[in-house]
Amino acid sequence: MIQLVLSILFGAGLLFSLYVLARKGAKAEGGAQALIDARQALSALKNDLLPQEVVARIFARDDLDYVLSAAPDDVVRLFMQQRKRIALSWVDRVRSQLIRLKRFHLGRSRSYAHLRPKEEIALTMDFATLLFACRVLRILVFLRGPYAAPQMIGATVGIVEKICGVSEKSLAFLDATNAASFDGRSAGSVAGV
Amino acid sequence: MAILLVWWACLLLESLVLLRAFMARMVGKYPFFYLYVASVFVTDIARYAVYYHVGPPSYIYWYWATEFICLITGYGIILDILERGFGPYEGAKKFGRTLGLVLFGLVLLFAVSHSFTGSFWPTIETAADLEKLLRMVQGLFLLGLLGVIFYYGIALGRNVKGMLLGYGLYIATVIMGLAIALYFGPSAYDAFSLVQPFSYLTSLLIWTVALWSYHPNPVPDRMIELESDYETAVLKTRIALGAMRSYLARAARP
Repeated sequence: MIQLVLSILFGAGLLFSLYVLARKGAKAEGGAQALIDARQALSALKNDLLPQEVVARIFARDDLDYVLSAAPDDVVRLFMQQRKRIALSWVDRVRSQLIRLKRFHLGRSRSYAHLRPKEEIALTMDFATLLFACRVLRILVFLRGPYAAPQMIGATVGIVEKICGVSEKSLAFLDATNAASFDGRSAGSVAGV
Repeated sequence: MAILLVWWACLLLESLVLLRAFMARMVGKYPFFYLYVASVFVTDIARYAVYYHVGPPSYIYWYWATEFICLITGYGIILDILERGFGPYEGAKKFGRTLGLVLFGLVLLFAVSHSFTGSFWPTIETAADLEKLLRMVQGLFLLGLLGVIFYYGIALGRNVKGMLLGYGLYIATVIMGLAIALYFGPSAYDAFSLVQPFSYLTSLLIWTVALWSYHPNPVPDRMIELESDYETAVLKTRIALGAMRSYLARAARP
């Protein structure tokens, strides 16, 4: 019976994938314009998206402490609503830039003859984990507000640390000198992300 | 009578697909696909002759012998899809090949483990069991290719898309049909014997339309050729990923 169910699920999955393929357009993605767009997205991500001080300000607890100590309840409520909206918008932006970055990378790597499948799989996992982390962060901010409880902080930091571990291993193959020249940082700071 | 009509229709469409292949000079473009169609065409004629001139009892043995020839040549379609469909996308092609090798390795591993344990995996007692297993492997390869196509956003031309759709439809139907037939017994197997030719006829119709003339795959207007370009892409992606991680980490910390 299990074999029957698995076979039918497998066949149905294949049929569904073919249906999706049949609906997919024949236009080649990843042309020059798409690459330029993606490069701009990458540049925006590195240079413009959420500078450190903005991120620190959005999630700064000082603001909440000040409002709590100096403002009436309705002002505190309004503050929390607006800060939550800003935090959610920040998570959404991080996620959308991450998706654009993924498209950018796929658009380039798919044409490269000496692509390293192992490296690609590691990157795929990195993207998937980060996207999942963004989802989790969004849900937690939505449910518990921008100043989440220690449980939320612990969970998110745990996910991020796990990603960092995977990334550090993968980064070993890269030439540290080139890395620094691309980003204008020291090799240590690149390895430390 | 309906089955006989389907049989004739299949022969007609197979000859039409082959005829168009020569007229539109597509044999060299998709050699393994046309080898498959030609092998099915020849075996269909032979089956027809055996069925009506030798008799149904001999036909059963002849059927399974020729079915495995078609099954083996069917792997050529997957090869054509990979080589021609992924043409300009060398990276994705390499990823697809690696995935195929990994799948093959896994299947081999399962087969070896089965020969030792024989508990979880089904025993291959009949030709139908073996066909189902081999079709499942083909289905896995096709799913793997589809995964790479979706993941890398590869646009397929009409020819390759038609090959994939037609063959995938047939494989999916055979896998489900054989599973039902093997589970429910001879009566279900009779029903499967009716469904399979219709499924193959549908695939042939798709191939006739999709491969009427040559349609190459759409090509992006810029291809990446330099090795350093890929290194740059990987590096930039990693650096940006690192930046995003630090944003997330900062946001998460109190």
